[in-house]
Amino acid sequence: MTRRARPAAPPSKIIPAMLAIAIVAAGFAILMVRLEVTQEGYRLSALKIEIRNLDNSNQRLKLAAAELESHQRLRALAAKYGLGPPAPGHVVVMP
Amino acid sequence: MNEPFKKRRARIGMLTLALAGLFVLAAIRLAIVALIDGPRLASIARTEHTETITLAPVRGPIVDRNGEPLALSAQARSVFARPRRLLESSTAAERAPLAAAVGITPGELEARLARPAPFVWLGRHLAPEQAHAAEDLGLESVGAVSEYKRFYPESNLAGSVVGLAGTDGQGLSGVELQYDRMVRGAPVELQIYHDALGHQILDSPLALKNAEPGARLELTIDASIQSAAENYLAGEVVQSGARRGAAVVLDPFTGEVLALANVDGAAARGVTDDRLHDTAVQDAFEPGSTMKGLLGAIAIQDHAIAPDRQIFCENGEWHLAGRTIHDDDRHGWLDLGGIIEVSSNIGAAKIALALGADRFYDGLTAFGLGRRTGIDLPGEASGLLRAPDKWRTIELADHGFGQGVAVTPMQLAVAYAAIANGGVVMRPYVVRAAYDAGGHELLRHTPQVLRRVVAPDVAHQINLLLRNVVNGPDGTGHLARVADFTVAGKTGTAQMVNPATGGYFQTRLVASFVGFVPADDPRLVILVVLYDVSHGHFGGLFAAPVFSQIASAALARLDIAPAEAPASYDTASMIPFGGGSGGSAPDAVDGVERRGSDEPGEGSPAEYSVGPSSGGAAPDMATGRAPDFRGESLRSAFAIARGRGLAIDVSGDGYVVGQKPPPGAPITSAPIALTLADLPATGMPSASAERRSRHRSAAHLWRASAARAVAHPRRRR
Repeated sequence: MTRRARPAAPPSKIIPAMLAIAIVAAGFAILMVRLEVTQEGYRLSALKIEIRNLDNSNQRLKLAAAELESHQRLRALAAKYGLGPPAPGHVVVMP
Repeated sequence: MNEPFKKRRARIGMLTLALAGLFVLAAIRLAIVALIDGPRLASIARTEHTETITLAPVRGPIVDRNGEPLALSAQARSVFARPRRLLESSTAAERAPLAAAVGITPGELEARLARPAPFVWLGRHLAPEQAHAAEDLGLESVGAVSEYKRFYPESNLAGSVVGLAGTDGQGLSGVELQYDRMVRGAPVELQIYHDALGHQILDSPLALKNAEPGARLELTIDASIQSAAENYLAGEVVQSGARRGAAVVLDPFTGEVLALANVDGAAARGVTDDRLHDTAVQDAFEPGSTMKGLLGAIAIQDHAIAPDRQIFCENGEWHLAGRTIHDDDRHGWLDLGGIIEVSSNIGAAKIALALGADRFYDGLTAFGLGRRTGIDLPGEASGLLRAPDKWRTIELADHGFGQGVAVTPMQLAVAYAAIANGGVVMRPYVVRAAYDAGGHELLRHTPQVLRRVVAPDVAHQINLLLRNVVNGPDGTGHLARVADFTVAGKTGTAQMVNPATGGYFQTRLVASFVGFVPADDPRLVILVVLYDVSHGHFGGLFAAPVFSQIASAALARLDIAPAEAPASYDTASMIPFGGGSGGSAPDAVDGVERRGSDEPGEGSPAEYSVGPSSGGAAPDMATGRAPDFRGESLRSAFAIARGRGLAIDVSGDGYVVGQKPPPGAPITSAPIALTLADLPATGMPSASAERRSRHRSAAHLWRASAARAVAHPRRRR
């Protein structure tokens, strides 16, 4: 009498499915992170350019302020408005 | 084992081997790609995805001691083209707007494009609008890059100190050159990823890095004092017709240069603009009589003469070694103070001879003549001081009154600073500190003592003697006076050397004045030099007023108040001057008169005595009536006031043309106000010719002797 072997149980498909899902999810996550990084890169790039532009504006404004406060200009304006250094005797030194 | 199974297994084995071989081949290829071709392939990949950006360095700002900016950098755009491609892709008519955008003519544009170069600049440091206009034309092979341009917001203020930076950001002169490596900064190259459309993607913190800016230089210069110095100096250069002028303002105790002004005569008249040359540091001149102050200090220090020793000044003319040395006036016996006060060349020559060549040379080199001061500016000259073994007797005598020696203005100012500070030679400097972009200190200069040249008491004696030059009745530097302050200094007038003949120009002079203020507590040493003025432009007449103006402005700027009590010092010649109630009461020494014979015995101490002046004991004060000053020179008016114990207040130059109260009017407690102006050719209507000739002293003699001095090449004043 021969014994008939019982067929083995088919392997579970849950684990591969979960693995596949996990891999896909991980890939998607990585993709999303990369996309976010790229978007942040664009944003940083724009901010960087804006900072440089503001720095340049700041430099130009400082330059303009310095030119407006230049001794040569102020001396010319003083002459125009009749201003000048005090004459001897016009300054009283307080003890 | 059956046959089919064996065959199958053999095939499997072969397949396995084949696959293994393929894997080996793949591994080999991988190794080749990774290890051998890797760098090349990586480079190709980088060029596809990345670009390199070079961030231009920003030159650091240069500011004065109070933080006022003297040099700044700001971004500008520069437009370039690749000529061959541009010429191939456009017509001359299409390129004409490009020329207009960058501000050049079409002809000039075509000329630049015709150069055999792969790259040409069409415009450097343009305004952003200009660069945008050029780019917006859409011409192939035309582009623009950002660069930093150097701006000098104060225009030419302290131009020779600050210097100049070139178009490519390199220092060319001044501290821009001296501290170029520190100020220049460092460029930065960034690897930037970009997408298919060329948009930058900053995905690395490194990409956020900025170019390393240059250091911020803080100068010792005070912009306000500098402005005053340049302004007053330029005014005098224009008025006197000088070819150029220089002024130096030093803190005698630290060596800090508070102002260093160079005015070119042409620039002062609005013709040229030169930031590349620094006369005060790079040009030497014969110091003339300003040498006498140094000579006196060396002679006292070496005990060659005693300050009160009488020296016969040969009545204005002395023959020595086949040459004749002249004085401007006839002088008999004078002590060192008198020699300095009246600026006697003969007296100075005799002191130099008494000192000897070696000791005189050693003293001058100790004062810093003939060697660089070490100032932190490029191209400093060392002047000219020959070795003493080459000095002939007449040359030794000449050196005593500043002939045959050449100094830079900075050297002379440093030497007088040593007298002012008690005998110590300080190294001058113009940069006080340097800071990086984060504010960290990179450099700080502190006062540096180079050497002691004379003892403090010797320096003090010379200090006292130099006050007589400004305040004494026969002093040559009256116009250097500063209201409410005591000034010590020395005038100098020297003929210019004619390089063609090796002699001297007859009518071309260098006029100078060097001094310090307040004399009791020197805070400022000021030197003024006017180059190439015509005859009659003595240092006391033209350089001294500039000294006074600069000193007044600098004292006010530095909040230096006059001493509460007037300085008391042992001068026989100080009289009240410049108004003020204190001026009407001469102190005990006022009234000292020179009464000795022309040729007293050796060591006779009786040349000066205290007593009533020749003008009597203030007869006008007794009568209460104002004397007649009209038609008098400044010096003569000065002598009259001194003789009568009166206080005067002077305005203007030349001769007295008005006074208040008028002659004969009652005197009040206020000083008598005198108005001076150049006399018309006909003279003063109210002053007789006899009187004018009787009072030929003072400025009369100045001017008269000017002609004599100019007529003779050995005159110094």
